[in-house]
Amino acid sequence: MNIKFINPQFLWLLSLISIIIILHLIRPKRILVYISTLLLWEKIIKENPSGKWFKKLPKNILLYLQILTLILLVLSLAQPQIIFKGNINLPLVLIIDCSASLAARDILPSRFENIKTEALKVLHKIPFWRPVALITAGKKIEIISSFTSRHNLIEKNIKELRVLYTKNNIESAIELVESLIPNTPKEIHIFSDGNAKFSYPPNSINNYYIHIIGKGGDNIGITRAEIIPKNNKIAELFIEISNFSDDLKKFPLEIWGNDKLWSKVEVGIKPQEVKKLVFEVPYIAYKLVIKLRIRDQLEEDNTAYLFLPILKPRILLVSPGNPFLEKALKAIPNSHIDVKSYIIQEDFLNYDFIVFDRLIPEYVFPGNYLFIGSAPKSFDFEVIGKITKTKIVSWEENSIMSLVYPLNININSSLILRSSDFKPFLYCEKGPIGFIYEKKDIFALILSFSILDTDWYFYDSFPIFIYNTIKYALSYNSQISPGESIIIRDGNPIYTIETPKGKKEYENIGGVIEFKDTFDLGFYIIKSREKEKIFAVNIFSKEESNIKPRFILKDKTKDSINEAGFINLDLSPYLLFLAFILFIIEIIIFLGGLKLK
Amino acid sequence: MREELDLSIIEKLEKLKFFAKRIKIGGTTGERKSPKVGRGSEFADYRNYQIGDELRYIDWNIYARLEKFLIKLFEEEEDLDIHILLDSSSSMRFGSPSKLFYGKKLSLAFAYLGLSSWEKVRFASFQESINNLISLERKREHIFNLFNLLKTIKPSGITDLNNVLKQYISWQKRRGVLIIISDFFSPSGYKEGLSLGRYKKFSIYAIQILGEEEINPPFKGDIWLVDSETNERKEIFIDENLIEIYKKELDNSLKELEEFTLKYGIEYLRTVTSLPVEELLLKYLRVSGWIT
Repeated sequence: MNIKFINPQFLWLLSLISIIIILHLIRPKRILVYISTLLLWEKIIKENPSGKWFKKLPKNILLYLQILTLILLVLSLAQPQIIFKGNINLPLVLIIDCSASLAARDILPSRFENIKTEALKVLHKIPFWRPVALITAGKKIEIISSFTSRHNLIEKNIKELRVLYTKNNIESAIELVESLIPNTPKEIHIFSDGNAKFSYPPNSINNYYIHIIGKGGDNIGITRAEIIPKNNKIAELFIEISNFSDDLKKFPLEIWGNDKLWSKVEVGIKPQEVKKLVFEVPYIAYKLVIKLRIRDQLEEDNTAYLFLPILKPRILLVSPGNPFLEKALKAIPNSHIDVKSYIIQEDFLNYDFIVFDRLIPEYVFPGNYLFIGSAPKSFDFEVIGKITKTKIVSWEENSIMSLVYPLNININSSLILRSSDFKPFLYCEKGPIGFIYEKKDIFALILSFSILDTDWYFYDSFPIFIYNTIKYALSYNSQISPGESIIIRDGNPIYTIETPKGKKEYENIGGVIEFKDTFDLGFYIIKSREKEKIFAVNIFSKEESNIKPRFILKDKTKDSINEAGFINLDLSPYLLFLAFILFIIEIIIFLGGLKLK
Repeated sequence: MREELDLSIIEKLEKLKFFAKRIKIGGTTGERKSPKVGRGSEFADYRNYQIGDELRYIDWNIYARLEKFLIKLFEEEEDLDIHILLDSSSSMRFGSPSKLFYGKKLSLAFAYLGLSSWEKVRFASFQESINNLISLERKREHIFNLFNLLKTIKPSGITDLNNVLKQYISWQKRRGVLIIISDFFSPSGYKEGLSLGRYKKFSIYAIQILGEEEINPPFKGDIWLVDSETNERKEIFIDENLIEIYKKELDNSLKELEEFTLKYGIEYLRTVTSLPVEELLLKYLRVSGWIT
């Protein structure tokens, strides 16, 4: 530690002390107080000698205060700097890998707990004033704490971290850290188990320190599982199991459906082998759990959760009468159809899909819709004309138009609509007549003509189009990865979510259910009135299941750590503040003295 | 604050009479009754004839009846000299109004009461010695002489009460009422002087005047205390504790004076300058029987 003055020339001003002393010497020493007689005071002074040392204590206190104030002022002008050498001034960044492989227990209690301990050690070693930032590198990069000197907050945040079961993304974390407070060298510590590669920029001004935790590699995991319908009754279950250990492994594999054991088979798998298994299971809605009954170092990937959503739509047809449309809707398997010539608010909440045939409302609640004839006024569009006697000539190749071939279908009359929110998918000779309107809370398919004004209902493509539309709007991928958000359009104000941790009720404010905390493995059941959707969260990552540390990066600056930096602590503001305080004290004492006169 | 002496107090005292309780003095016959029996107009008692008694005082009627020579005794009416001594030392400049101004007003009041009662009044101010001595004959108009004199008196010098009393009492041939107006802060003390006064049969009235700042010193901190009379300086650090000690010391000093006056039959009154003189005269002195 050294002390340096930035403006040492100001130290000459210390000579002013002599002027203060001279002024002090030439002025009356004390305040004189005239009293009628000293008779009593003389007696008191004789009887209380203790007053003597006490009275000497503050003797010349104003002089001392003036000298001290001047010294502090001069020193603050000279700007003294305390210089601490070493790495101690660099902002510190802790990047902590939260990926699934960190749950491995090759080092007890787990790799992640050890990483947290290691990070805390680094935190405890640094001086209290150093700014520290904490970043987690899961699938998404999250700045848990931005640069702060509140190390207790960082410590608390480190202790609260948990494994996210996602893939790691340290590379992105490094990119992010490189962009933080640019042109300022930083000390970056990366805590990982080394099962994924990453690199830092070659010309980086930052100092990197890599902490690799993990040594084992004994793991077998389900790296993929999928359930695909084969026909109306049977679905096929595909399972991919990977052995990342160096030993032959034999273990039982269990398939559980709705908490009941359906099947149990013995599986043998060679070292480094990837085995694919196929099973036939009934095609019904159930929660399927696959379990590998084996003890290895990462148990989380020994279980897979699957759910095959079966389309059972509750559909409302609002129409003055359209037997063709009604028939096409009723043809959808497992569907429940109601037909009305009007609609009330409750209907918006109770049905999965509503078809408005010519009876177009002015506005709609969040949900899924097919509008035939026009669109609600709330959609912000304009009718720019009307066309007659035309034909469908083309369409966009998307899943709605899959197996639909409406070429040359006659359309007697249709509106021409225009809106920036409308995405055309169906065209006649004179322009688009079919649109997709997709917002966060509303999905709608808009046909600007009436079905009865066409001959489409005579063709097979019409019921297929209707089925495709319903399926497109209501089907969803039940398989999500950890951390992926669940988003559902729904108008109900209250909904419940059952997670592996428990059940909780939420308020739906924007017409969209959005749930982000999907970091736990297992089923997530979202219920809104009669509607229910089930999602399954799994690791399914060969990268994460292969827990063997296989990537060791040399510390960039480990050898030169001692001279990597220095800190300049400018004392001038503190000295100035002290001088101000002393000045105030002096004024108080001086004014107190004046009162005596 | 400018302190202008005026005669307003005199108007308020018009109807009051000064009354001395234990006057035993001879000289010209005055308005007051003396406990001494002798020549007067009012019969008091009889006693046996002794050689040397004037024959005209023998009660011949008694002799005719009892054949005994008895002398008639009469209550003697005697006049009274009132002596007012006002301390005008430097220490009397303190107080608000100043102790000296307060004393001047008291002096004026007592002198007026004396003159109104057809008494002879003598006034003197003093520091180390007697100054400004003035004798006022039995006429109210003479109060203006005193008034003019009082206006010229300024505080200065050192108090020497013992010396002053000894000096003044030694000058007096007759006993009388001696009113001493002072703060009694006399470096040489006051006891000898007062006891001499009592020895010479003076009826002494001691009025001690104190300023507020002498009772509750308003200063604190590291200061020089300067004696107003001697200019002597004392370096001292005064805090709450020391103030409390001072108050105790002052209290002891006042008690000492009080006990001394009680012991020697001296009338003693203590006052502060914040108490109006009029109130002191009309209320306190009247209640305590100094004046009627």
